[in-house]
Amino acid sequence: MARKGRQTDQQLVMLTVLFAVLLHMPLLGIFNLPVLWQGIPALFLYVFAVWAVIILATAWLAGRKR
Amino acid sequence: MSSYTLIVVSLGYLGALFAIAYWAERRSRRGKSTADNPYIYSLSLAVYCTAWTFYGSVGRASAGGLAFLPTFIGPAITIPLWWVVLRKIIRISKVQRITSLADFISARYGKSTTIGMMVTLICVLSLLPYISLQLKAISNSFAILSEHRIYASLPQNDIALYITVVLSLFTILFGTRKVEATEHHEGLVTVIAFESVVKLTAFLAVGLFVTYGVFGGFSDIFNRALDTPALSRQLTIDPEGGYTDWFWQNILAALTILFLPRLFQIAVVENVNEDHLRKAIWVFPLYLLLINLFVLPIAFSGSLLFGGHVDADNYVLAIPLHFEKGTLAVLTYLGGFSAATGMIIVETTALSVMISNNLVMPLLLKVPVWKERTLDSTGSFLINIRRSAIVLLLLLAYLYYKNIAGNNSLVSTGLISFVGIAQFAPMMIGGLFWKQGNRAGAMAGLIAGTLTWFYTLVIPSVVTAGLLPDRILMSGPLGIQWLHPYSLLGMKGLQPEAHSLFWSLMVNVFLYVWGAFRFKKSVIEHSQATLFTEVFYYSEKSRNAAIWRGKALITDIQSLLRAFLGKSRTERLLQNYAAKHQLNSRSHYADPEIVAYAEQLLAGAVGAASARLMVASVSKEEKISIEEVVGILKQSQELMAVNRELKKTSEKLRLATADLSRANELLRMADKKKDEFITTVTHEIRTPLTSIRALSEIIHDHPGMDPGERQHFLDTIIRESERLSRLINQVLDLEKIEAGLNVSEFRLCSAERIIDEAIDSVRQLAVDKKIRLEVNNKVKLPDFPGDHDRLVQALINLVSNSLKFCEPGTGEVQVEAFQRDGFVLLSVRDNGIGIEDNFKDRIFDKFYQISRQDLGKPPGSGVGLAITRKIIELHRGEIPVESRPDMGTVFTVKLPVDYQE
Repeated sequence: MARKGRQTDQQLVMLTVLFAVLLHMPLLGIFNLPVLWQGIPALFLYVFAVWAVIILATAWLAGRKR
Repeated sequence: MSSYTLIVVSLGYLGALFAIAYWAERRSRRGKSTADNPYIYSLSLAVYCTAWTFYGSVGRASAGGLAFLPTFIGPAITIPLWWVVLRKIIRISKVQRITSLADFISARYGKSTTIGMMVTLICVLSLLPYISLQLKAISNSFAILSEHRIYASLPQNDIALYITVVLSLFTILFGTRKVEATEHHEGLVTVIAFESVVKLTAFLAVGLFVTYGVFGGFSDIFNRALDTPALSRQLTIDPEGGYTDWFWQNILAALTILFLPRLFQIAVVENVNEDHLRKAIWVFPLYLLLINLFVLPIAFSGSLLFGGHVDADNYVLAIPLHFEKGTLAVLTYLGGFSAATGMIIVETTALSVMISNNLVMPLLLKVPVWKERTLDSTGSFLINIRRSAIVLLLLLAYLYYKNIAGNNSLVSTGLISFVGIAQFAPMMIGGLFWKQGNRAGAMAGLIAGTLTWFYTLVIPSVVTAGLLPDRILMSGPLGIQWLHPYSLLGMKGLQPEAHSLFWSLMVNVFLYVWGAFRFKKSVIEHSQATLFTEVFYYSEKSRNAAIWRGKALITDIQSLLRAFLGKSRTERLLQNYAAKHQLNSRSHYADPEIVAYAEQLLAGAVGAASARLMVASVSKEEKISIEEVVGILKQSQELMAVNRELKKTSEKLRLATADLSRANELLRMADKKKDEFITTVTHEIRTPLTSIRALSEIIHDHPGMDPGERQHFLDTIIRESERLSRLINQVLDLEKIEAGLNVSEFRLCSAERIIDEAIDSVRQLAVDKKIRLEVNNKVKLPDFPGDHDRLVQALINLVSNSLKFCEPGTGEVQVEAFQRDGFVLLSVRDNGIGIEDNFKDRIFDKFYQISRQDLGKPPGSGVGLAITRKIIELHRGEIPVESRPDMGTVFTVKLPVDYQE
């Protein structure tokens, strides 16, 4: 059980690293375009979509039964 | 809408808050906790979203597009880390009975009073403007709504004053209920969670109205924005420096969110159950996402509708008013009101605890005259300090708002506060994970970082407010350009906040690390550092790590506690503790563990540093070395480990001993057997040897003896020699078999062939002795693995053994083969003399021969049956014997059909 707990810790830390990379240069630059996708600004759409994924991933990782 | 109606609405709403808080408090007194719920906990964390979020985000978005987002994206990225960081803070705070952020830091760095005071002062200084900002937001929104002056800049009403008074009352009532600041404020938390729901609902309502009521959805707004040059620029981040700002703002928000006193209060002090974090780390970011979803659409709509004639901070309220949506406007007003009041209530509560425990108490305790009075007073004295602090804080905030705050927008004031709070990050993070971090480094870093922050952000804002000559911002102080507050050493390309954050954090971290290596830690610093960084290791222990080595009279300890906890509670707690841990409570001097426990109880009320001062004042502390402290801390843990280790080892030893004595027993038996064996063998060999020698000597000494007699003697000599060599062969054979058979040479054997070969060898013997030999092997039997030749040998031995003990003439020997339960069975039945029960086991021993007085010693070497049994055993078989004296004997050879190694 302790081992499992430490694994969750590490996964959550890695999650932060991953999303920190996703939401900064240079990846952020790919979406930094003055265009609309489906009527939504590209950057706005990208940032909020990644944000939603963080929430889902955290909920999944933290909510698993120990 | 008239101001009276609005005042009634506001007061009605505040009344509702009172009612909710009262309800929750009553419920918790009946044992039903409202705050013990992960969703309430998550929602109460949204106290992070203040009026700055509610009104200011839109203002910021309309000026810089997505640049408003880092304040929320930064936390969203790092919130998964909370599971590691915040959980540790919570655990430490529970174990150490931490009451506030300042208390936490002071406790970590050796319960230092100085550092606690510094943290308190920095918090108060950087947050006062932030609190007054909330007052400004309330009175602003009130003015806009009551006077419909969406174009107005500054309100002339005094609504802020009334709100201040009511909020003081609320905070005093529900934020300072008990002396122990570690107690949970159920009412307060419930109200904050409720307000979070209100502000989210209100903001979403405005967002939906603007997006779908005023415009035709997201794409409509964004398409129009794309066509407006001023707005289309804000759909992206400015590549010139925009990314750098984005990065630093994310860092700023991510660091600050945990160390804002109000967040610390809600997330740590009010946390009921660590496990609530499991939900909070995704529910809270979800809340942040939802409340930010409509910020950009509202900002763009405001610009499109008003074209810059309305302050963007007011768009949220101005748009519903512009379209004459009275109800929505009031709801929005209440949303902003919730955001502002929630922040004020929690922040002042947290600050009041800091002020009383880390500023006022240590000061009182350090002056002898005041100390005596303080210790004589009761707990209500402490509560009164907190209440006064709340009133004073709100009053100062109000004055600040009246005189200064009017000049700054919501956002800039908020960010300035944030950078100030971020100065706690190095000492907090270092304190949690780096045992080396010490008081000297923490203080050096904090002072230098705060001064840098003050110089690079606060001074410029004072200049902007017109209180200092603006030459400083034109050409640097005294005309020195490289000292310019916005570009130290000529650093360009960063926004003022990012610039300030970079420099202040850099000197802060540098000095913190430098101090940790340069200066030695005191004893108590060392022990606290260990208790903090290894909290999960030590908190598993049920008892306090009693690093206290002082002598204190039990009556002194009691009177200390009585002042803050009351007489009956003190006695109950101490007695329970002593009983639980079986401590001696009759002595005049308090047990060190009792003293440590008392200090913890006090810490829950007055903070770690003050509690330390108080306990120290009634006791004589013995000098204690670092080694001793570390020793005591590790002692019980290590003892437990050593104990476990010892137990394991002794268990192993016990097993090993048993094994050894068993082996020894076997060896001794084997040795004995060997002796017997040698004796028997020598005896068996000597008998024929003696007769051979005797006969040879007779022939040698009598050359002229009768040829017939001589022939007879020579026959005997040959027969005895044959017997001798047969014996030696059998002994060698037995030795070979006992060394084991080569299993890999096992082949499939057929019982039928084995019997045929064996019978062929002994048939002549049976004929000679006139014994009937009968064979029944007509049943079809499966083949089984084995050594064919050895099995034939075993069967020969058995049959010749039977022939040996049968009466010539009437004797009968039957050999039979059959199958049962996965075994092939070969039985040899005779009607000979039989075996008595007590000899059944011994007949298989080497050289064992049953001698009966009437029959004398039987013929044979006594090795045959031993060889037979060994062969069968090596085939994983058995050889049971059934026999009764004079009734014959049955030997059965059981051989497994499936040989298993």
